[in-house]
Amino acid sequence: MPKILLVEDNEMNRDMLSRRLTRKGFEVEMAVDGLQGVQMALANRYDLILMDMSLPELDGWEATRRVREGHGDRHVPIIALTAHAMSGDREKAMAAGCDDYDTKPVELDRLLGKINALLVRGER
Amino acid sequence: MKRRAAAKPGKPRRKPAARKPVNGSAPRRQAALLRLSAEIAAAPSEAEICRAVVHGLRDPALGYVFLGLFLVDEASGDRVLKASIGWPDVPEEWRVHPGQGLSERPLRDGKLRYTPDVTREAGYLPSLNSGSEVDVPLLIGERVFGVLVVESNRKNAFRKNDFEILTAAATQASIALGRARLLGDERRRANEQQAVLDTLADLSGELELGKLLQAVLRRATTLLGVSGGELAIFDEASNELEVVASQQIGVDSRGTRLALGEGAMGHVARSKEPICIAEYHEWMGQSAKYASVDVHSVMAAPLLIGHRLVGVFALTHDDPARRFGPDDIRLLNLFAPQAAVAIENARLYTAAQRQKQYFEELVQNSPVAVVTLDNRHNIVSCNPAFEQLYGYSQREVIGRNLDELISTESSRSEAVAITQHVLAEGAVRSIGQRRRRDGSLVDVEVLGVPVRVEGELVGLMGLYHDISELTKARRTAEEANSAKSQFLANMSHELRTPLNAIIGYSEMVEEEVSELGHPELAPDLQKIQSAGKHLLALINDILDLSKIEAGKTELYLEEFDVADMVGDVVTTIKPLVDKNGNTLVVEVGTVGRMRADLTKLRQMLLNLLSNACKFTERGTITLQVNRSQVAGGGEELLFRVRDSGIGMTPAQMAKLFEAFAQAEASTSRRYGGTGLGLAITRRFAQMMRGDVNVASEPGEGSSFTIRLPADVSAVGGDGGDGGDGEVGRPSEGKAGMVLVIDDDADARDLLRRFLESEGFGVAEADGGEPGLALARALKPQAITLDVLMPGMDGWAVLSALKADPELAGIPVLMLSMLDDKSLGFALGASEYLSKPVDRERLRQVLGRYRKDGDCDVLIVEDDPATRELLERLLASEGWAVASAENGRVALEALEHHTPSLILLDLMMPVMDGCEFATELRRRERWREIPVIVLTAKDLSAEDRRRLNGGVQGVLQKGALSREELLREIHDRMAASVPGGGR
Repeated sequence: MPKILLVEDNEMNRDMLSRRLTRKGFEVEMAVDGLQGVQMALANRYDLILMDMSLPELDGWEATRRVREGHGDRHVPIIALTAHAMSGDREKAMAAGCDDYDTKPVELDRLLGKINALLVRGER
Repeated sequence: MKRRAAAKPGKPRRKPAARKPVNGSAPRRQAALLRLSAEIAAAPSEAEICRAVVHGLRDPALGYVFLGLFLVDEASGDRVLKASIGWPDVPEEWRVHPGQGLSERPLRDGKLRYTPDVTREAGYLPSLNSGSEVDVPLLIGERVFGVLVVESNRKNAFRKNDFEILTAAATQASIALGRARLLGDERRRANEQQAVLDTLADLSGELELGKLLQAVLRRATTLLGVSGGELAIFDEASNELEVVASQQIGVDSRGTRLALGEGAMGHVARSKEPICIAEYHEWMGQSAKYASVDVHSVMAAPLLIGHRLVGVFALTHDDPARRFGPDDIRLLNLFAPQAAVAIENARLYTAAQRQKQYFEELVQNSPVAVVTLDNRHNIVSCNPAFEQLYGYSQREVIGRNLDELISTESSRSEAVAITQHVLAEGAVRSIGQRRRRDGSLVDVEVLGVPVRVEGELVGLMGLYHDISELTKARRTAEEANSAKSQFLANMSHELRTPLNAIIGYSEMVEEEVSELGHPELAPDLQKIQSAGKHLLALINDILDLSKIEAGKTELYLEEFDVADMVGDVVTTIKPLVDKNGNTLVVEVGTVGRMRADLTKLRQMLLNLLSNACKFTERGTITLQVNRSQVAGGGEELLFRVRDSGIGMTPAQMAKLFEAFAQAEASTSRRYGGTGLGLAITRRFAQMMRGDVNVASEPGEGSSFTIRLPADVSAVGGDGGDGGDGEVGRPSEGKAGMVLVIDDDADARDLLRRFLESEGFGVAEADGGEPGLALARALKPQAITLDVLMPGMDGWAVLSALKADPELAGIPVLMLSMLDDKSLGFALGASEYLSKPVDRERLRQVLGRYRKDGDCDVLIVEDDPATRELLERLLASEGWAVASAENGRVALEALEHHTPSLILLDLMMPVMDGCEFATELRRRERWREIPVIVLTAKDLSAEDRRRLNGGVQGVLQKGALSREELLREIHDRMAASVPGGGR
C-alpha cells in the first residue's frame, strides 16, 4: 500500500483529503506545518509527498528544498498543492524541486491521475 | 549831397552838411590810407573793424563826411547798419530790407556804383537832401557780404581817385572782416558745441521721458534763440508722430498725432531732411491741425539715430522779421543727434522700468514661493508666497542663509548640494522637505536656477512649490493600493480555503452516499458542489482581473507544442460540450511550437470554449488553429472558436469585452458565468501582444479569434494601455539583454539602435505594466526606465521592480528630463541619467553590466561620484571598465567579467573591501587578479590582517595625481598579465 505524507495546515482540507485518499487505498500520514513536514519526510520513508505551499513555520517551497537537500540522491515524488491558481506558482513549485503541481480545491480524479503517474514512474 | 535813397518815410533824417574838400594832397591821402589800414588790421572784432573803416575815411585828408557800412544778414537778406558817421538820427543795427535803397545795387553785381545825382534815380524821395553817392561792395571772393555807402550833399561830388580810395578801403575792410568772421565763426562753433555738450550732459542725466522731452525742447529754443517749438516722437507701431512737448506756439499741441507727410513735422519725418519755412501761413503743406497756431516761420528737423527716426522737432519764430537760415540748420544738426540719443535712452529706460515692474508684479503675485540669493547663498528678496509658505516675513529673512533657514537636519546636506549644484552647473529640480518658521515640515518641489546677467553669475533663485497635498494624496493612494493588494491576497486565501472544504466534502459525501446506498441524496450534493465551483470561478476571475488592473499580472513565457496544448484543452472542456448536447469539431493545421504563457493561453481558450458551450444548445462548436506569416515579419497563431449559438447584435458585441458586461443582465442568470471571462481573455491576449476579435450575427452564432505572436518574448508591451505604437521585437546580443521601458517610440528606437551597436540585445516595452511583465519574463541584464509615462510612471515601475525579490537585483537606469537624482537613488535606481542621454555616459554605465568578454578594470566603489570619476578617467585611457557599488555586486559581476585588475574601495555597504578580497582569494580562477585598494582611510593593523596580503597595492585617495594613478595601474597590469600593459 503506497504511503503518502500530506503536509497541510488547514484542518478541514487535511481531514477531507486524507479520508478520500485513504478510501482510494493509500496509507496517509499528516504534518501540520512545513517544519513538521520536513522532519517527517526525512525521518520516514514515503512513496509520495503532497505539499501545501502556504504553510506556517516554513512555506512549502522552502520545505521542499530542505527535503530535497536532506534526501540527497534519494528521490521522493512531491506534488505541490496551492490555493493560488495564478500562473507562476507552477514554475515556482517546479523550481523548488516539486515533480508536479495541482491547484486547490482538489479535483480528486485529476490529483489521483498525477499521483499514480508519479508512483508508476517511481517504480520503474 | 544826397540822402540814402528809399529809407522808409519817418525814418530819421540826416541833416545837410557843408561841403568839405573831397580830397587833400596826395601824400596826405596816402598817409591817411596807411593809418586806415593799420587801424583796420588792429581792430579785434567785426564791430571794431566797421568803426575803424568809417572813422578812417572821415580823416580830413580824405574829406568824406557822410559814411555808412552795412553787412548783409544772411537769413533775412537785410542790410544791417554796423557803423556810420554823419547820420545822427539813424539807430544802431538799422535794417534795410531787400528791394530797398540804392545801396542794394552792388549786392547784385559786386561792382562799385556811383550815382552823380540821386534825384534822378527812381525811388529818390524829394523830401530828402539831394546830392551824389558811391556804393562800394564788400567782397569775399565773389560773395558780397556788405556795402560801404559814401554820400555827399553835392551833385557830381566824386571823382576817379575817390573810387580808388574807397575801393582800397573796402578791400582792406573785406579782408579784415572776412578774417574776423572766420575767427568769430570758429569761436561761435566752439561755443555752440559747448552748449550742445552741456545739453547732452544735462539731458543724459534725465531719464524720465516726459521731463526729458520738455527739457530738450527748452534747450533747443534757448540755443537757437527762438520763440517756441514742439517735439514729437515717432511711434513705430502706428507709423505716426505724436506731439509730446510744445512751447509757446499759440496752442497746446501735445497729443496731436501726425501721419507721415502731414504738416511740417510729418514732412520732415518722411524726408528725414530738415526744412525751413519762411512764411508758415502761406506754406502749402501745413496741416489743418495747425490752422490756429500763431507762428511766422518754422524750422523742423528729424531726430535720427543712424537712419532710424526717433522723433521730430520744430522751432518757430513769431517775429516776422526773423527767418531761419543755414546757421540755424547747422546748429540744429549739431543738437538733433544728441537729443535723439537722449530721447532713445530715456525711452529704453522707461521700457526697461516697465518691464521690471511687470516682472516684479509677476513675482509678487506668483502662487509659487520665490526667493533670490546672492553668491554667498544669502537671501536678497522673497515674494509673498514665500512668506506664506514658510511663515517668515521678507524683512526677517533678508541677508540670512537660505539653507540654514529652511532646511531640516535631514535635508540640510541635500539643500546645500542643490545650491552648490545650481552655482556650479545649472538648474536643478528636486523634491524634498523643508522647515517652516514654526518648525513644521512641508513637502516641496524645489527648482533652483542660477541667475546670470550678461553671462556673469550674480546669484540664484529658488522656487518652491508646496506639494504636501500631492505627496499626501500619492501616499494615500499608494497605501490604498497596497491595502487593496493585500486584501486581494488575503481574500484569495480566506475565500478559497472554506470553498475548498465545501467542494471537497460535498464530492466526498457524494461518493459515500452512493456506496452507502442513498443515491437519492446525490443530486442535492451535486448542487452544492456546482454552486461551490461557480463561486470559485467568480473569485478566480475577479482576482485575475484585479491583478491585471493592478499591473501585478505576470507573464511566464515557455515554449510548448501547440497541438499538445490544444489537445489538453479539448479534454478539459469535453464534459461542458456534452452537457448542452453540442458537438466539438477541432481543426488543427501545421502549427508547430510557440513561446507564450501556457497557463494563460489555456485559460483564454477555455473561456472562449465554455462561452460557446453555454450559449449553444445541440449545435456545433468548432475550434480551428492555424499558423501564418505576419506582414511585418515573424509568425502568429490564430485560435478561432465558432459556435452555432444565439449570436449577438453589434450593440452587444460592442460591450462584450468590458468587465461585468454580459450581453444582457438577464443572460447572467440564464447562462451563468461571471461576465469577466472575455475581459480577462482580451487583457491576457494584449499582454502577449495579441488580441481577441469577435464576429457575430443574432441567431447565426458567434466567432471569436485569438491572435498571438508565435514568439511572445519577441515582442513586449501591453497594447491596451496608452502606448504609442509598435514596439520593436527583442534582439539578441552577446553583451546581454537590456529592457527599454519608455512610452515614446522615438526614444525607444534611439536607445535600441545605440544599445544594439554596443552589442546588447534589446527588448522594448511602451509602458509600466508591460515593462514589468517583460522584466519578469526576460530577466534582462539591465533596464532603462523613463520617468514620465502615462498610467504607471517610472517611479511606480521602479518601486515595483525593487519590491520583487526576483527583479530587485536587475540594475535600473532611470532616464528622465527631470532631475530627480535623489529620489531615483532613494528608490533604488542604479543610475540616473538626464535626457537627452549623453551616449558616452550611457556607454560607461552599461559597461558595468555587460555580460560578454573580459574587461580590463573592475572598479568596486560605493560613492557614485568617485566611481564615475574613475570610470571616465580609465575609459579615457582606452580601458574597458566595469563597476560595482559594493563587494557583493562585484562578486556577481565577476561571474560575467574577468578583469585584468580590480580597483577596490574599502568602506562600502553590504560587503566591504576586506570581505570582498577574502572572498576573491577563495576562488581559484579569481585568485590571480591583481587588486589595488583605493581608500580614503588609513589602514589599521586589523585591516591589513583582514586583507592578508591579498592585494597588490594600497593607494590613498586624493594623494595621487591622475597620471600617477594611471601609471600605477599600468605597472600592476604589466606585472600580472604576461606581455601585459599597454
